[in-house]
Amino acid sequence: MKISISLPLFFVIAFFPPQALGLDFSQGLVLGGGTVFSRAPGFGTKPQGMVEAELENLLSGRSFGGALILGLHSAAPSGIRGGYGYRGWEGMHLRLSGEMYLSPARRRVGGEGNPDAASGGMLLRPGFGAALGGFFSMYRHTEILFFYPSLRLQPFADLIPPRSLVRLRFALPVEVFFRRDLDVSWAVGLGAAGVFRWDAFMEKRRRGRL
Amino acid sequence: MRRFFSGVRAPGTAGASGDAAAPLPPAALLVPAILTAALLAVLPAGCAWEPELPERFALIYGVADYPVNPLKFPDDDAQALHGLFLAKGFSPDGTILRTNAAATKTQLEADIDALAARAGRNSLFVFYFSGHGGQDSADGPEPPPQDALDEYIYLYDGDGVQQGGLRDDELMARISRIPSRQKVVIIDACNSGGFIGWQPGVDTVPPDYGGYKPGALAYSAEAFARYFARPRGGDIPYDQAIVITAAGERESSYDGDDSMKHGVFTYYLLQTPRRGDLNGDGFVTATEAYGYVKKQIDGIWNLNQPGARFFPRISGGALDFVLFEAD
Repeated sequence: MKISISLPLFFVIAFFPPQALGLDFSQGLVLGGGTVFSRAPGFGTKPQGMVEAELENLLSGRSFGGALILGLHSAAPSGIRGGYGYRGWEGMHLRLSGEMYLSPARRRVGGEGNPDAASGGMLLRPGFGAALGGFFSMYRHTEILFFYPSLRLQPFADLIPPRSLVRLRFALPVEVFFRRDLDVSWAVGLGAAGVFRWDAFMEKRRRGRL
Repeated sequence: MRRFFSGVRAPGTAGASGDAAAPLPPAALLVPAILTAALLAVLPAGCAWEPELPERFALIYGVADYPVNPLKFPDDDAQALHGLFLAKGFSPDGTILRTNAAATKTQLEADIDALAARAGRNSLFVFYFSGHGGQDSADGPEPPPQDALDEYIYLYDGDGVQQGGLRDDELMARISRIPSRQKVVIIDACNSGGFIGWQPGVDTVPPDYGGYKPGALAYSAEAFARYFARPRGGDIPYDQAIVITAAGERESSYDGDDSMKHGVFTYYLLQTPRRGDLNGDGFVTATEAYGYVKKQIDGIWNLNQPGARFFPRISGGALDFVLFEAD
């Protein structure tokens, strides 16, 4: 017998357990860009541009959260000063992250005189996250597949507009890549995300506003 | 005063000046953030200017006139590449061409010694060979799974082909005497993929191009395992040289037809000054040259010669070396 479940119903079923535990579930589309600094044994350090797109699945409580992140990444080749450079690479990655919200009681941006305050204003929630990543990449123009783990630390700020199902996140990630073909590989960048708040969706649905 | 977070006025200023600024839509904050991220990603490309190429040396060997089983174009391959390298600024007296009877193992020893005395640490050294290649297990099979046999290139020694055999490990021992930290080995010969040594990644093209190809999951598992594996010795390791080969470990490479007048691989390699600058920075790197050649072979030769399909290979590793300026 074939059973089909609509996508909204799937999420209702999937997120009931976290809701019962007082956890909120949200999903975000993250776009990030940054600079990777690479150095091979016996050679100099060179920067490489890198971009990422990620789907973040976040479970969050009042002070802590955790996420499973799936993403695509692409790094450009470095410059070739001195006759050598570092290859570009691209591929897929997976991260497991934990995050801490620095202000459990959400702080309202604006205050008295804020015309939005009457309706709740925009909320700012700063935080800090750490993630372990596993990357599968191919050097550009080749068929060589390689793996490397990473550690990422990032301060972030969530901006939560009133009555919105989407919140924004801005992050300043610093990441170290543990590659076997490089002595040093680390990156600094900027990430921006639009995060769909399933908790708010469920709440609105419960109140019949959807 | 506009505040970054919400686009609303500071406390206490509401209506005081009649400044009724509209709140900034939250989504509008994403745009500058993404633009800034893109800028961070693009900035390093500025470092591509003025590459200041190092002194470049090359040993170019081509053997067609074997006493038995001769080939048609390897000596032409070598001559054409020699001309290209000189035109592209390689050291005139450090770019050595040996063809046919002059391309012996003894001569290779002498040439290696001569260049080892001249080349500095920051120079680029290219070794090129076109001719016969093969596999053997004369000193016993190498550890499986990828390299169960030794591979050879065959120089011009003795009355047959076998006497000129130079094993992969022997070639590695010879080029390691060159002090250049930038080395590129290019081999246009059968089974030449076996010269590529251990690397922390896995080649997702099987040793026999037409043979069984494991799925993405199997390759991913192997790449994961390689990260934790101990490097295996033998052949030319990825951290010693970039190795570009015409064919895989279990494949043949081919002389072109009379319109090409070169081996198929070298025919396309010779086009890279005009067409091999894949990122448009004005220079052709070893990886770009490979990227161009393999695409041509797979897209043109393999389609037209389904019975003689082969696929070039390149070694892994993060580094890439500039071969020459693009035309």
